This record gives sequence, C-alpha cells and structure tokens, in this order.
Amino acid sequence: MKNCLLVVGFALYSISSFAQTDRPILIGIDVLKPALLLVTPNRTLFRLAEATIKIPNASGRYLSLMAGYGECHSGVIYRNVKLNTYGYYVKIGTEPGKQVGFTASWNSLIGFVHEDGNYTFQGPTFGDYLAPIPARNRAIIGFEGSLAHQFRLSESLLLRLSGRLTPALLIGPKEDKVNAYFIPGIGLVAGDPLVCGVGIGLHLFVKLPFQKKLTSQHD
Amino acid sequence: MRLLIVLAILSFLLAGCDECGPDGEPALDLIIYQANPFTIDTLYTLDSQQPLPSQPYSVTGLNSAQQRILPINLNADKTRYVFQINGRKDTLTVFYTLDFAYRNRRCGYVLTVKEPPDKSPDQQVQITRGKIQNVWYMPNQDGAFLKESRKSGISLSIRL
Repeated sequence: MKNCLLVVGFALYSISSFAQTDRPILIGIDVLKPALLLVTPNRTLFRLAEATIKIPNASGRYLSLMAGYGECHSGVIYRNVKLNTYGYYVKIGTEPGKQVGFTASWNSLIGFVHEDGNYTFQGPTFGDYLAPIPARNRAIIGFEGSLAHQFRLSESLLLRLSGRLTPALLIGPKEDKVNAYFIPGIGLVAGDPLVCGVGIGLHLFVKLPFQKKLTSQHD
Repeated sequence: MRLLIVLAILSFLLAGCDECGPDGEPALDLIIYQANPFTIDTLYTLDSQQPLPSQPYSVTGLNSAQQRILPINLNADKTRYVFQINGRKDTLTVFYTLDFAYRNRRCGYVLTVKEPPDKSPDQQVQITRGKIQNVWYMPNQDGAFLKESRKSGISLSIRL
C-alpha cells in the first residue's frame, strides 16, 4: 500500500512538473457518495467511494480520470429478489479547462461487477422457500455524459455539482436472466444487458500545491 | 377524438394483465363430495410448522360437498393432509413439482405448480379411502378481456 501511494504521488508530481500549462492538477472525491453509507427505507445498503484526478493538457482541456468502488445490498426488489452487487470502475474523459462555472463533459466507463443474491417465497404454514441466485461476473463498458457547475470555495478548493446520464453494456453470462439493479459507476439502472442510469455527484476538488507556472527558460 | 378514446379503451381491455403467480405457498383447492351431508371435524397437515390458516369463507354446516383452500408445502414435492369426518381419520397426499423461473422486474421469480415427473394417477394423489374425481395442476394464467387471471395451484376433487 505504501509503495502504491509513493508511485501515485511520484506520478502526480511528475505530471505536474512536466505539464505544459499553468493550470493546476485537481484531485477530488465525491462527498455525496459516502453520505449514502446508510440503509435506505427499503433496507438497501450502499457503500460507495469515488476519487477523481484532473490533469491539464496542452490543448487547454482537462484529462479526467476517475476510479471508484460501489457495493449494494438490496432489500426485496422485483417482488421476491434480493441482490448483492459490488464492483470497481474507471472513468476516463476530457472536459473544458475552466475551473469555475458550467461545464459539459464526457467519460468512457470500464469496470467489473459481481452479482449474487437469493429469492424467497413466504411460507407461513410450512416455512419459507429460499433459493440462491447464481453468482455472475460481468464487465461494464459505457459512456457517461455529464453537466456540472463548479464553485470556488477558497483559493485551493472547488465544489462541483454534476448530473450524469450513463448508458452501458454489461458483458458476460446472465444464466438466471435476473435484471441488474445496481451497477458501480452508474447507480440504479434500467435494462439489461444494455443498461442506463442517471445520477448526481458532489465532488470536492483540491488544487495540488506543487503546480509549476509555465515560464520561459530563456528569460 | 372519439375514435382515439375508443381505441384507447379497446387497447386497455385487450392488453390483459400479467399474472405473477403465487406470492407464497400455492393453494390446493380441495372439494370433498359424499352422498350424505357431512362436515369436516378436523383438518391438519403432517409437516407444517404452523396450523392451517383460517378459511377465506365460512365452511361450517352440513353439506354434501365441502370445499377447503389449503396451502402447499414449498419445501417438498408432496404435502400430506389429515381430515376427520364422522370420527374417521383419513390421509390425503398430493404430489407435485414446483418450478421457479425469473420473469421480469415486476414479477421477479414466478412459481408454477406442475405435475410430478411420474404422471400416473397414484403418483399424483393418494388417499386412504374414496376416489379421486379430478386433479388439475393449474398454470398461471394472464388476465385478458373476458378472461380472469389465475394463480398456479392444484384443483382436486374427491368422492368418499
């Protein structure tokens, strides 16, 4: 873990030092997702986390990299089904270089999702019937379009409120034909294997302190 | 405009209703016939964890036919019922196969009660006296115009 953090830190420093721009690298976390670490009224439990890094490029835009983890233990859905889902995802895309104001952006999404669960028929006289839903692992390939507004909180802090629409394709076996309920990186979805979800995000960004202003070496 | 309203009403009537089947234990619709009017003194099952639920309608009184709606065991391929009439106890055993399949987001898994693999009459129903008049493993039936929806279960009539 320490080695990994060192590598990531060194990579960020290198990118920051060699970037041909005076705009800072932004590092952010979704502060809305941890707020969902609670049980919703239908006893669905979410555990979500997402981190973002935005790297300015020479063309005046930001390269956006997001990585996240999502977990969902549903209450009773689809009349008698309970699904457990977890997975990881990465989003890569670009967005306008401005730090404050309205922006529209897109990201490609790739990820992995594991799903399992069970279904129950109530048996008040003889006892309930409980059967497992076979586990399945699927890949996620999608596209995310988002609209966001960024606010400056202080000299080094930005707050970004965003809404997103994400269509994606789930690739892999689906033996029991149970529709997906939650997909990491998308949220609650409709459809299967072509899924679509909408969501909102609230990201807090920090400007990296070691950005280097572009100056001429000949001055 | 009127044509649109008529078409909307017609499409609503003809669209039908998706039947999701039983939510829990399917029902055995049991009818017992006897030449003379009678009443069922006691009725219970041999494998249940709880007593049989109360009947959805009044079934007291002497009659030459008695009907009971009884639950079917979800965790076995047979259910045994014991009934007592005029002091004599008899055992009724009903055999079946339960089929569980995922249908859609609205219905989730749907349960269908089917015939047991061995379809010979004595492998469908066994009774210590009397004669099986009719046994029908009812599939789920979607509702439609002039067609009522129906949940899967077993319909059984016996004559003592």
